[in-house]
Amino acid sequence: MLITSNVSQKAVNTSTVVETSYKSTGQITSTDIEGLNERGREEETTQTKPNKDTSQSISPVENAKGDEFSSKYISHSSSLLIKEIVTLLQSWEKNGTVNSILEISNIKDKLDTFITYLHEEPTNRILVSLIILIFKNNNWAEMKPNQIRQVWQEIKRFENGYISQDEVKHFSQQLFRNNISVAPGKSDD
Amino acid sequence: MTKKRKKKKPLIKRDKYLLDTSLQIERLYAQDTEKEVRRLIQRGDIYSSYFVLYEFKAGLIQHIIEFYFVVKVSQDISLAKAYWANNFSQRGSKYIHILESLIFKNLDSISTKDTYTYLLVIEATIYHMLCNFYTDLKGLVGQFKDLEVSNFNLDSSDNYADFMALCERNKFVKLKVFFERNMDSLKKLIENEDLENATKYKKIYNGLVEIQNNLNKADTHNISKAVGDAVIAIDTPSDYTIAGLDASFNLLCKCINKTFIALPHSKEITGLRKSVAQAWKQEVAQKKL
Repeated sequence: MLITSNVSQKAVNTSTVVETSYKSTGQITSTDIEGLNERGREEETTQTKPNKDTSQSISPVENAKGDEFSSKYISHSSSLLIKEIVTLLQSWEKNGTVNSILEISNIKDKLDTFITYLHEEPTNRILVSLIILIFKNNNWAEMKPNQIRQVWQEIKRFENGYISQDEVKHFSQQLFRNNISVAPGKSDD
Repeated sequence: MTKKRKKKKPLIKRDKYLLDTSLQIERLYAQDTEKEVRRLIQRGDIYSSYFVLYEFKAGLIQHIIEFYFVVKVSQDISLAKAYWANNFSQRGSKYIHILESLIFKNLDSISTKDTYTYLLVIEATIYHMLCNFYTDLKGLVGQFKDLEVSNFNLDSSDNYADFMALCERNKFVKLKVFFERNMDSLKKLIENEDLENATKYKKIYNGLVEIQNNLNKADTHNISKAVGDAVIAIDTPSDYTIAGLDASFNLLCKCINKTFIALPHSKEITGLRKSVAQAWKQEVAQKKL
């Protein structure tokens, strides 16, 4: 499947970039963060190459349009994604941010890939976009273990693939209550 | 043998606080303001009003959705921002800065060429703002339960176009019926000399006088927009304390025998102003040396 092979390729690219950076310093540095962001920008640019015939770029949405995914498929895929992200987050909590650059990078990859075929279903799209908010800026670098735990415990609720409006609202409110990512300023100790 | 009756514990009456619009907006992006709200929750129950919800949606949310469409149409984030800066009011620009303070910690984090992701992030942020308007609130109160804008369901970008059309049809709240029901409060506000003479309340006071002279004026755009704070004060039930950042409520509440508690603006944000001024002065001094 095309999507699977793209994910595998991205994972290979990610590990090469991240492992080189991690091994050299053993500490998370601004270079690591910049590298992740830079790699993300390069891949997004690749995905959104301008169409020669029009002035607008082709987004992954445009690429995915016309593919109709059944709600069962989306539910099943959502379930798999959530389980994988929860596992990565649990590993991140256990090992600390410095030792989890690969896990964090994999989470970003999965979100980027998954959003491409969630665009039709608003509730799933909003949930994934809320998680993207945590990982698309640099707030993830300052997350404390209790906050990481809070995030995976909340995301775990969606593991069965059933994503309801009320539960997504609750998720948004729990991020807010626990000062996770979307507001500026320092988090509580 | 007689059974002992269990003594019922007396119900502890908790204070009720009504969060005004400025507070509901600032708590979203300033953590120390949210901490102040949490302190209130320790003392009592927090509420807001349907009218505050209207101002929140018709003000902040509407502007951000409009910006969403500008980005979507232009497919160029920097062009959209330049257009926004040139064509919208100061308040409109302020709302987009609030949006970005919620999205970005580091401006370099999202490529300005990636409009697709930027639009997703705006959508998620709007959703996050709307959800967290209600966080920890016991409920909404007031006489404006039927406002269409307040009740409109904005769960995703699928509804944005309909919401904008609704806002276009409802550019202001008609207040004639409200003031007919609250003539006593209107009279008290107008008869207060402090309110009449205070420069910072001029717009509100003049608007109220116009309404008293001709009730139909309450159904006009400019007057309705001018007296918003007075409406919140009058609309708040008398056993509630209004909690806000705007000191103008102090006098308004005093006139109509209601209570107000002023919470401080975010120190992190206000303190930054001082730090910036100090920083450039130090640089200038160092260069002279």
